[in-house]
Amino acid sequence: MGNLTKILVLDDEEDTEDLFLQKFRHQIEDGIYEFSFATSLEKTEELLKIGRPDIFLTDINVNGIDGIDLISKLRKEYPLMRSVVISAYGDINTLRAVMRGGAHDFVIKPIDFNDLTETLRKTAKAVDKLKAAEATNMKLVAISNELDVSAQLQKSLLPGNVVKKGNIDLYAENISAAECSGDFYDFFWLSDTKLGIVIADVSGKNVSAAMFSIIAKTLIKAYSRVYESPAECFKNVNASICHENVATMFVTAMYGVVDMEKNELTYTNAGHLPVGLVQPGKEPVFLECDSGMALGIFEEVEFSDNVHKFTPGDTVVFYTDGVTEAASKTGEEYDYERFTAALRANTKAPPKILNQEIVKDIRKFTAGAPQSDDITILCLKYRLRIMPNAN
Amino acid sequence: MEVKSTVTEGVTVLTPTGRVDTSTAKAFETSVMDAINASKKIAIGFNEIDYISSAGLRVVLMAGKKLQASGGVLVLINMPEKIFAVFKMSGFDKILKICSSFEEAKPFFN
Repeated sequence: MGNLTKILVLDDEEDTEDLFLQKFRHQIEDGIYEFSFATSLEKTEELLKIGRPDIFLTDINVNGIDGIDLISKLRKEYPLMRSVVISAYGDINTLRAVMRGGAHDFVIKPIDFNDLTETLRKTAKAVDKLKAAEATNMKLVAISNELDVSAQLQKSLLPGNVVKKGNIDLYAENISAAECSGDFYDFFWLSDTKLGIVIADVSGKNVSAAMFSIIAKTLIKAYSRVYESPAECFKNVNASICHENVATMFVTAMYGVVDMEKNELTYTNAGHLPVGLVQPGKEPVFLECDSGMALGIFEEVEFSDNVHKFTPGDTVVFYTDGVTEAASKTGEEYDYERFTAALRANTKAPPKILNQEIVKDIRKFTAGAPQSDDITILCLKYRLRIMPNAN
Repeated sequence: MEVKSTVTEGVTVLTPTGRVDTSTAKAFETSVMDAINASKKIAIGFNEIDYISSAGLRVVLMAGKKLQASGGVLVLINMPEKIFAVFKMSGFDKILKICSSFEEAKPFFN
């Protein structure tokens, strides 16, 4: 044990103090209890402030003070303190009023000190538990605050949601299930006419996934400047990640380069879900491509470049499994059929609307179920370029 | 999620049940690592799994790497089409042994 329990006694009888000090002398000597005594409301309030007692032991009526009113007031002011009421009236209505007023327990007058000893012991135990719970709660609050800061930091590393330049109209969004996300998207200009786009999903969720995602994101962006081919870029990113990946974490990712001069998307896949292609008025499809292994697993992995030639109005959709595996209340998955239907209903929509309509449809499907995984979608619409000198 | 464990012909067969996702991956990892510490021949059956997330895949991958490093064997068995698709998508089928049944996996353990 070892916890000192501080007890404040409010009673107007003169011999109370002597009686308590006598009856509990062993516990006092052993440092189990520490008593303070008050006979008035003023003294009580003073001792409450100074001493911060754990247990408040009061008569039901002391010098005209209503003990029940007092304890219900103190319950709010000192939520970690517990009150025990001493009552001369043992009738059920009085005792019900005492308990309803927020007392932890009661004893009947004349005081049976064996009963009081047991009551104080139990109450002290309850206070200890309460304090331990409060301490745990404080720690959780601190961790939760830290997570919020981490989530903000991670969000601040996302490049924004929108690109509108030349033929490119892009909208991307990440909705994380935990504070931090294991998913990320990225886009960056490689030249005036080339935009790199990335989507990725790190194994696991929250802080560990977020830390790993920052490494992966940084490496992809860095190597994208060195290697023109997305496949070459991923080969080197993979080797770098594998090099010191003790935690066996991995990331599935898709990286593409949109070239506005060639009107094409060159992309490579590291174990990620196939790219969706939405064309006005046509049935949506998912682009077949050679898939390399997820990044971070095996150092010697080859990746391949795949090319999609844009027709004006094409929208390519990058997404994570938080979309296809979003689970309904009954555990059913959103899956490709519903996903395709959502794409089909919005083939002409601008990317932001398409993105939002997919999310809306997922939300409708999963209503009442907690979001189990991060949802990330990046839509890029390739528009017809109007040449300034065309007639 | 629970992990059933049986020993058949000297091979520890682990059969997780239900969902292996972020919230249950830790328990799955503990069961798998306990099995690896006790035996070098491990089969994981996927016939009673509803869903496996990337956190669960990570555990399987880690088990494969650990056993490989210590001269042990890991074979994944009884995998439904849907779960196999997950392994194939992430490229894990290239580095992990996957067999349709325990019978088919037996030669790897000899």
